[in-house]
Amino acid sequence: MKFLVLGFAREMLGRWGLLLLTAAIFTAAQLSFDAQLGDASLGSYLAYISLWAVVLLFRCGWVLQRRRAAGWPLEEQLRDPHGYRAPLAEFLACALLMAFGFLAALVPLGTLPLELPQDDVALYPVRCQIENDQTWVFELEGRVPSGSELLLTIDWSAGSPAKQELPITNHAGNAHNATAGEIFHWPLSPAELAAGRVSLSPPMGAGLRVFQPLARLQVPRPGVHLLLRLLGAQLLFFLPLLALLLALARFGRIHASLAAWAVFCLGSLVAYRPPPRLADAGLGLLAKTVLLCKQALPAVEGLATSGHRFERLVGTTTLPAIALWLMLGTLALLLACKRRKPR
Amino acid sequence: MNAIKPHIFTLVVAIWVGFVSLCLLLQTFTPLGSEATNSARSWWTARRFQQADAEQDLLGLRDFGAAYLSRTGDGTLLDFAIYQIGFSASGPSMFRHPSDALDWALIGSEAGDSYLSVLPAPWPTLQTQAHILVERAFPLSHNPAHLANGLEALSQWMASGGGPNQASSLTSAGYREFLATALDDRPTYLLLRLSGESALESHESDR
Repeated sequence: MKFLVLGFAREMLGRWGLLLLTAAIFTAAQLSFDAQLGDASLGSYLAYISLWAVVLLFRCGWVLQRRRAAGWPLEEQLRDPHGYRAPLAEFLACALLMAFGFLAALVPLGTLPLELPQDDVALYPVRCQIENDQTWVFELEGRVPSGSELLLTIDWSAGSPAKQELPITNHAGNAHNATAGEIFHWPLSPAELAAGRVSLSPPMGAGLRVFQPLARLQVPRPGVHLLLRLLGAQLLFFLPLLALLLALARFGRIHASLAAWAVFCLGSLVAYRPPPRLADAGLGLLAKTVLLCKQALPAVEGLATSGHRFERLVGTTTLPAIALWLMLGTLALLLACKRRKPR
Repeated sequence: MNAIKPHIFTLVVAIWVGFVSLCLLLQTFTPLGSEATNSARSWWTARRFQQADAEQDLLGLRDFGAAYLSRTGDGTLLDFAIYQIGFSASGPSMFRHPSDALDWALIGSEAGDSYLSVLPAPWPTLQTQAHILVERAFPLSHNPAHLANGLEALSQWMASGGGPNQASSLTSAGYREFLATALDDRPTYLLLRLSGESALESHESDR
């Protein structure tokens, strides 16, 4: 088994794999964290590193197909009557290479003089509607990480100058005081996070008005100390895709490179986050179908989050969704290990 | 039929791949790894922005700042561009013809207006907007709408206390003073406040 894993890993890496990986990781670190030229974005670094997993998916498909053409399936039947050793070895080799690449991504952070981002906050515009002249309704547009707050700029100029501190309540009766001349912070409760909608009411007749274009959602942005956890989440996202690739190529008996494309398409759909206000736009048939397919899959896009707005999805994936995603992966791996009768 | 039967699953997968690839081509949704290309493009946009700054290409500053905002959600470059176009480029130290200076002030102000609702931190832009309209555009155009809009922007900025990152108790106290002022005297109060800020800024820059 050990030799099978090593052999597959060696074939996956090829002659220049390690060198290219090292160069890519150090370039990604410079592009993301260099003091003068970098983007100063952890999400950007995550995005570059996640390419490693995508490359491995396609490379795995290519190696599987090459082995099939070289007569490996026949060899496997002769050497392993149960048929689980080769698929398990392939899965393990890919998983180890993926984990190795992700761990290697930590190396430049400790060795290069980089400006690493620390814990911070990010701000996002929020759509605000005013209902019944007295209720401000804010649409959060999807799941939001816990610890987020609404930041509101309130116009007090129509109210009484004597009252410069007033309570603002939500529909559940919770209240926070707003002060004239200060941004009003509304910490989102778990119920509001789950509903993706917040309704706030100022006191009747107080004359308070919210400046709608200035309403913002403040989301905590993780610092570099959470990189390992974020890379772990990426690994959880990609491992079931890898198992599915093996299942399609082995149990489904389709061309392994086509299987890699199919898995890449599925992964893209799972990681896709519909843009805000998509429901308002006149959707075409294609977009509606994509949305339906997306809804049928486990909502684990938070695991694969990367890019400049990555903090918006960090920690938004629920445990049942992760469990379902991993179960699908396990099922796919079991199918990959099941040997079918030759045609 | 028997010849096709073993390949039905391949056909189904091929149709799936075709459908999703078509969606990807039509940009109905983005493929895995697209954030990496987006990051690389935003990095390149930031370099182009720096180049435009070095070459004093003011419209380039605005365009690259806006492109960077749409790619990354970070508005600091656009904020800087609005300040450079609307306030610096139209200032007396640039020795521009008055109509030329007014044009730049209005271009900066329009950029501020159009991006205010999408900037992640719009509060510094409001302050810049107020300075552009009151100190640059109004003296050149004598258009009362410029003065009114500038003072409105200033009052909104003061209502935020300077914004969450530049919160200042002085600004908050100023807003409470503004509220305590009679309605007719409020524009005068805001003008005094603005000229006081400018005097303070020029004093600081002289030092």
